[in-house]
Amino acid sequence: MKKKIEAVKRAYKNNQQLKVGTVLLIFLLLCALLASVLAPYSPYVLTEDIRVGPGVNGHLLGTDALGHDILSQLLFGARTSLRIGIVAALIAGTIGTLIGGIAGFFGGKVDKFIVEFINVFVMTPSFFLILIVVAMFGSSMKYVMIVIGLTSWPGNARLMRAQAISLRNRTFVKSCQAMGESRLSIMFRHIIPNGIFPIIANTTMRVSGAILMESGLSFLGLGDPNVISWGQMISNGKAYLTNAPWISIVPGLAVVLTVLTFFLIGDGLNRVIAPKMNANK
Amino acid sequence: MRRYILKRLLTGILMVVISVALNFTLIRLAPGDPVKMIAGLDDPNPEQVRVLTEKYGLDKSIPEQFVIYIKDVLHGDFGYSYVNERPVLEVIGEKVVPTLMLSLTAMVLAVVLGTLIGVYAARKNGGPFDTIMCNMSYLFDSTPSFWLGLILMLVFASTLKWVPTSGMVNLRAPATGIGHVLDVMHHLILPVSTLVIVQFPYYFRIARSSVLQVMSEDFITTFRATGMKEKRIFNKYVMRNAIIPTITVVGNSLAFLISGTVYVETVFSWPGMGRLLYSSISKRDYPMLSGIYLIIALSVAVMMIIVDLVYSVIDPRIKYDE
Amino acid sequence: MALLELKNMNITYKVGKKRVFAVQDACMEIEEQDAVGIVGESGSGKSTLAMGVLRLLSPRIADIDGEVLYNGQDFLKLNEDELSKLRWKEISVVFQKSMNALSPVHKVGAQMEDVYRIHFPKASSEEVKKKIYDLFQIVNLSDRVYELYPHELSGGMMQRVSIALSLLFSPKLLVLDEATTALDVVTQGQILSEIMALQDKMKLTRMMITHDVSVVSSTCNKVVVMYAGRMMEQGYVTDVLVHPKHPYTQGLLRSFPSFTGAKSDLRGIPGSLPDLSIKPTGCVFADRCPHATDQCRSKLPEMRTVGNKWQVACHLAEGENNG
Repeated sequence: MKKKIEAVKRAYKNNQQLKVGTVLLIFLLLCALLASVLAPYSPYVLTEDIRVGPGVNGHLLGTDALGHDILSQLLFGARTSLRIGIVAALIAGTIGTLIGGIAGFFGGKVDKFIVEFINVFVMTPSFFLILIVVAMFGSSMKYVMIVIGLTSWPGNARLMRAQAISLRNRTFVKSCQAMGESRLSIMFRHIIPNGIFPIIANTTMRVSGAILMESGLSFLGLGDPNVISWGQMISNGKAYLTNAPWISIVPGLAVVLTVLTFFLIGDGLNRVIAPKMNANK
Repeated sequence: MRRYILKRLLTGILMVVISVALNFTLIRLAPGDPVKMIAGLDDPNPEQVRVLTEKYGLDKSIPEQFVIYIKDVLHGDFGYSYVNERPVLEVIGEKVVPTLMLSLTAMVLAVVLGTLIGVYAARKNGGPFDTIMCNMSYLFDSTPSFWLGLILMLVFASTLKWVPTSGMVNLRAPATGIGHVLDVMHHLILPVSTLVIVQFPYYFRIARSSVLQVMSEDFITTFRATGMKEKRIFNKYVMRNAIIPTITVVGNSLAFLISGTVYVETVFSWPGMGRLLYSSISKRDYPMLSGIYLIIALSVAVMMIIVDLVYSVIDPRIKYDE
Repeated sequence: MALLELKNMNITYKVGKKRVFAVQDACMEIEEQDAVGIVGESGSGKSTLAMGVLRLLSPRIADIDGEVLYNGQDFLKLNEDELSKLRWKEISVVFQKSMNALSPVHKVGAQMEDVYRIHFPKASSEEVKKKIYDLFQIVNLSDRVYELYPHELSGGMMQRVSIALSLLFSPKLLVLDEATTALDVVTQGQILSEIMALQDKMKLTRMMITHDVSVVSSTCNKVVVMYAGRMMEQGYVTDVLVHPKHPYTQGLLRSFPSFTGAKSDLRGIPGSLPDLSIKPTGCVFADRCPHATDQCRSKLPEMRTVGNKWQVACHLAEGENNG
């Protein structure tokens, strides 16, 4: 594990994607954390300025049809996007690691069953499942996070399974077995820590997917109505596209930037893990 | 080979069963009265309550209800939309063609463009074209389709007025003949472009990386050593090996064709299944939602099986994989 | 005149801005119908040498200079077309990982047919088939293999396919790059003796690249010992492998069990390969050499002749300097 961290540090220096990604991530995190300090208005307050363009009356990015300051909404929206994206990806990462780890390490019938289960699960149209669940059960942020998380773990599970299979035949695992360490303890103390790296990269990528999904749900009106979300902002601006295009354009750019950030970091990490891909580049 | 087909068939059937069960469970688990859920109305009249309770056996035990539900589905009864006052299947049937028209056109274009550009970029690996395309693929991969659709609409429809903003037909255009076809094609341009732009990075990356991967295989060195022309190595051996992943993902995305169109249909008011889904969500038309979900699950299963069969013909290795 | 002669051949890999000097100052001769083994541990540059000679290293990843004379013609100066005409007809190769030597989604026979048509584009189907069936017979494969895919064959069978493929045009020079390394000992023995038999029958000249000294000693006439991209010692097997002069050769031989089965002191060479991106000032082996002197660390040893075609690059070996 330590060696791998060292390797990451070294690779980081030559990895343009990781560098750009980290800078963007820090910027986004600052925006989200300091939203209440940075935002010139409360995101909920209705100002006197209705649909004014960027720069007018001190509204840096303009206002929407009800007079909300778009910059302020944008900053608070970052909180929603990041929270949902990260939590959903973590849920998917945890479930995937556990299921994949068990399948790969225990092998045999357990493995066969899990693999078959994953195959079936991948085939179910999860996008519609998410839509329907959120439509039926209500669209609180909690549900959105959980549902996205619960439907996007199979990729992680497959990765972890492959890792566990290759690790379980290594000498240090064999020697732990010989020393009588329990299987569960080996899995949590050796298999998962040593095999987690690709899952970390993939989970980072998953954050992108979750953020896109969340903005899509909010765009369709299935987001949490009590929080500010970029998808919802885009949807609000739809009707004023010709008169006040900034209402939709600005939050869309924010989504692109955020998704790109996690994409770059995830892909950068993947290149660090698989230098062969790097050589091709 | 036969075992392989059988296995895939079983997986497909299993998937349908699970989807049906999931669908059933969701409706029963949803908060509120199942009668209200199934009716999709907040205050169904007593007559409706009686009919529904009888039809779905809502006064019986859950397993019995499940059996009734399965029987209905097997008989092609996917429910009744009280919002539309028509059977679910009938409403969906009308929307299938526009959706397929939109999504298939977009997909064929995305696959062809993405693959061609990907193969070309791989051949020019590391060059300026490759670098630009790789960065573009990242960017478009991060772009939400609904937002891109709005932007394209703003630029090409509202501002430049090259294409119509939304809908599938212009009411003033001829309703039949070549005029009608041209009109529909005119309306297709923007939604199709949106889908192509967000989908092409996927095919681009797969084509590019599999060509690069195959080019680094040992057998390429063998052929080079034999003096075979680079062109022949590429056209015959690299392409044949590199195209397999593309075919797999095309197959898989064929199954999920409709997912991508929900947003685009919503943005462009395209009268397809995606828009139906959207309006069913906003009207809380649950029978319609679960009907759409079932139809999609079924078509995904069927597509998967077909794709697997095609795949086993293309890749000789697959038959022997356990 | 030698069939193949290398004169001061250097191969440098380009990895980003880094340069890796994989082969340096390689000089050797291969006479017609001779069998020469090139031995060295992994990373010694022996495979790179073969790939370089065959011009299979893309100029994008490696620079090659020096001379590779094949029948007096410099291989490195040929253009693609001239090269294509010689490839496989004059020199062919059996590669390291023969399991991946052919395309996995095309049938074995069809691929061999395709290769045959590179030089005989107008050959009739029957003619090509007959040629391939004949070769299959030579390498003890059944005709059935023609219609099979590579993954349907075992490692040994695939190795035989590779050998059959390499003999398609009865080449003068056959390069075997770790051709039997991945096989079990029994199959390896079988294939080696088949190759030896073929060599006499088809008048082949053979260049055998391996890390296994015992393979060289049992199948080759001459041997070249490589270390860290440099040639350490070369000459007849009966000289070099019996009375090695170079401390590296001595170490290499000690790390293998004796051919006669006699129990002797079996040990490895302490230390590991030097970093090939740094050109050493002295002998590349100096750091691991038990006899190294100050001269060894400061001055590059030149090849000196110590017997009949027996050359050693070591300051400590006695003999005339042929600088």
